[in-house]
Amino acid sequence: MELNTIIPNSDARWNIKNDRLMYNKYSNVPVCYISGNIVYVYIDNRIHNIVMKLTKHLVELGVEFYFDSPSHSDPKITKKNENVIMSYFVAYSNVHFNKGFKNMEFDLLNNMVKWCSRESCDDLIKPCYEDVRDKISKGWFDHYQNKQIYDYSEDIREEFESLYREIQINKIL
Amino acid sequence: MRTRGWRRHMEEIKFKKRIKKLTYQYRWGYGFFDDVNWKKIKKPNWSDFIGNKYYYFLKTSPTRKADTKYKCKYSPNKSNGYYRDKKVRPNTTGNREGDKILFKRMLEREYGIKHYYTKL
Repeated sequence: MELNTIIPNSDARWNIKNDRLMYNKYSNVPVCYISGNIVYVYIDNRIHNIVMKLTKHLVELGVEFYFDSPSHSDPKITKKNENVIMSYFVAYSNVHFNKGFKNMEFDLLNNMVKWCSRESCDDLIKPCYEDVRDKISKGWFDHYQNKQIYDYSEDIREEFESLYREIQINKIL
Repeated sequence: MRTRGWRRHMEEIKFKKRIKKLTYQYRWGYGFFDDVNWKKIKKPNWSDFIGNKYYYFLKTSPTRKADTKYKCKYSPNKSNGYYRDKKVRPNTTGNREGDKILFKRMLEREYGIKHYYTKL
């Protein structure tokens, strides 16, 4: 399998450099790479439209793929499994990815559970989930308007409170 | 020919100049910059600002003149209407955004095709 076969459309902004597929959005942003017949997609919130187009194309092709943290595109940084699990949760908290994957009928949590069982790092899911949940549920009180304000919407906050239960169900299935 | 792709390319050049001026301040500061991917960066590049609030703030807006809709409605020179609302062609609203909304309504009513908004 090569990177040329994975490009979803004939846009001139796609290019291949250093064994990585890149998309030019003001600058070349790395999108995915291949290792051992498995595609790893950098789940970057800067290029959410392009990542969703690529996942849709990969699902249609029937290729095995997982997501990777965008910080691992830098060769200076050492790869850690915690960063990958955090990137999954951060993407799930993003409105564009949350609604886009649901419209596409793609289960992101199932993909994460499969990757964790493959890398044998199931113990790291709960602490990463708790970190993300605490940040999302944070709010502050605006005394001028006399109401509580949050950075994230109610839908996403309510989903995250019951998310660990869905992950455990996916593990059993 | 100066097509839409050329116009978009020229706006990208403007955006890059504006955002490079902004990042120059961050490179000499003591604090960290929070990326869209929840990553803390000490000395950010201009490409790390994509997706941030400054990305939407520094982009060029569709009103290319100083006369906004508010000024056209409440100013003493009210006879001069908003230039993008003038109906140059029949059966249109006068601008691309309004035509897009009408087209989507037509698809939903007559053909049953719904459009799901993934952007805010």
